[in-house]
Amino acid sequence: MTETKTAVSAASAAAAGGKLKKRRKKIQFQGYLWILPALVLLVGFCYIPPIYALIYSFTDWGFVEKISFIGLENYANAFRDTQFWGSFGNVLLFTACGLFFGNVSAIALAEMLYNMRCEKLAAVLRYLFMLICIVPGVVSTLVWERVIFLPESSPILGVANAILHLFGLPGSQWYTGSDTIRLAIILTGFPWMGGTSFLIYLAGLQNIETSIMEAGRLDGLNSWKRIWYIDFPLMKGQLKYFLMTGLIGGLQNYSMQLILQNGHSAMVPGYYIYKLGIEMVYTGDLNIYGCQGYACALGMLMFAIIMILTILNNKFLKTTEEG
Amino acid sequence: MAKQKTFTPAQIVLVVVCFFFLILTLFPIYVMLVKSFKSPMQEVMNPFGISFPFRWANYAEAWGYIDYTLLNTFVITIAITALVLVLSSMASFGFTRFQMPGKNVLFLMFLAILMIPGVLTLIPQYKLVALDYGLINTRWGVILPTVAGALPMSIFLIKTFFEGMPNDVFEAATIDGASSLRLYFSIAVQLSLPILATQGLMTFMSAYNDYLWPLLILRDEGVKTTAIVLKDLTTTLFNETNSMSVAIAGYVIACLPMFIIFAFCSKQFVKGLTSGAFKM
Repeated sequence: MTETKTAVSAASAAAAGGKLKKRRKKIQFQGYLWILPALVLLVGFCYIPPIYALIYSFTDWGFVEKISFIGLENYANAFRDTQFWGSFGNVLLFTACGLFFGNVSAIALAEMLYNMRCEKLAAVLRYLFMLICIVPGVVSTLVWERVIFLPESSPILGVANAILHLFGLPGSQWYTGSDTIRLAIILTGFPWMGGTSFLIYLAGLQNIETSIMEAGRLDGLNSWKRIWYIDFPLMKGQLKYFLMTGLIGGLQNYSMQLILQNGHSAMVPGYYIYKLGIEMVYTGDLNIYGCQGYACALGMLMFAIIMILTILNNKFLKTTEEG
Repeated sequence: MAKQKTFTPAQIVLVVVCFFFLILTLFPIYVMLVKSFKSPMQEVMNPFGISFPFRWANYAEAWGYIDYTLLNTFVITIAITALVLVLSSMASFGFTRFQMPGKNVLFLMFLAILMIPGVLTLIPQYKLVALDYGLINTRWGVILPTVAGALPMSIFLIKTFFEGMPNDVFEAATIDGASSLRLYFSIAVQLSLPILATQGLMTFMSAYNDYLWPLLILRDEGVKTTAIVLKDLTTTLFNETNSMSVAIAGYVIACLPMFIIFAFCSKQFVKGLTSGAFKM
């Protein structure tokens, strides 16, 4: 049966006779059938929302009976919205700190495990550092909120305040204090080593050819110099991956705010949009007019900002790679 | 070679530093386990140490609060995992085994979804699912959008694997008269079981950890998932009893499924968590 050659490349297909082409066309349609279920779900749930968002961003959709188009008013308001841009400053701070501390500690751990001569011990440690993955994200945040960063006013002593007391310092309000919440959010997850990102750096290190390492050793590089001159340049691919995904994810992230339900001094755009578009619908806070349409416009703005930053980041990382 | 000595001072320092950070990293798990066995009295007297006797009743109480949510969570999570695996392997099969016009465009369209951020789609997707489709307070309202959201990445990974499968096997089977359904089940799925297991594990984990979407869709008490109830429970119990132990026992219960999976398939686990990075 010639139909089986369907998988041959397009070039050889073009070279093949017209008869073969006709026969192939007969069965081609079955392929669509295999993709159809996935396509139906994607059309139903993934393609409509962004189109909705675009359309609604030009309307006063909210708690009005009739939705009407208001042109660019939402966007004009967005540029004047100090709360939104303030929240954007916060998310830049959180993302920058998260990227820096997260990657530095993951690389540090990968280097420690890579340089450990007792391989069995390194394997056990690798396993144990991953163990923290079993804790669901919500639970992990709740533990930080209710056990570690308990405020001074709480009847139970929190871990962080206990440490402060140990040094004779007064306890802090952490997540509940408007001036400490940002610091507390940045410190959450300390020492940021557990999980799996260190595994990717470790795999990157292990992929470096032994001949390069051997050459470095013969040239008399000590461990620190080796890390700087050999490991870092050769782990650029991994670093790039984490900078990209970390930036995109970090700018949208509001899981902490959602669980802490704090949207004051630690407000981020994601949570602001969530509050405008969804929470207010539930709490019945009807004071804000057309807030869902406005939230859609803010979403479009975030989309544009993330796109631009991703492209810039990509270009920057590419030029440093060539240079 | 002298360099290969295991017990140099530098190596000992390295191990000590590593263990120091390990203790810090695992501290939340330790403190969770210790606190889950405390009585309210012990919680005040000895907040961070192990205190005797253990109060097992915390677990019984916590179980009473969350038992029905575990069933909800499992039904939703398993349905999501199964659907993602079936649909993405089917689509990957369609993309790799058949020649048809527009399939590359279709595939690029699938990938384009990955570029659209969640902050943009949250509100319209909520409107679509909850109001237009009327799926609020139903399990399908959580399952279908989550599956759809997971499909592009999953298809991308599985399709890449399918492309690497030898063509000869499929041709030989076709000559022997196998239908394409047979090719899918007996060859494509069989040969890709490892990657399907990895993908399934990842989907299971992210669906199990999901908080935001179930929070929006599942508003009735009876359909809620574990994460949502634990969050609510923490606040109510803390306000009522000034104690965290029962809620923390609930946290430990919520960690158990992932712990069991981790204990039995850590290899697949590592593979799954690191596979995305190497495909970049």
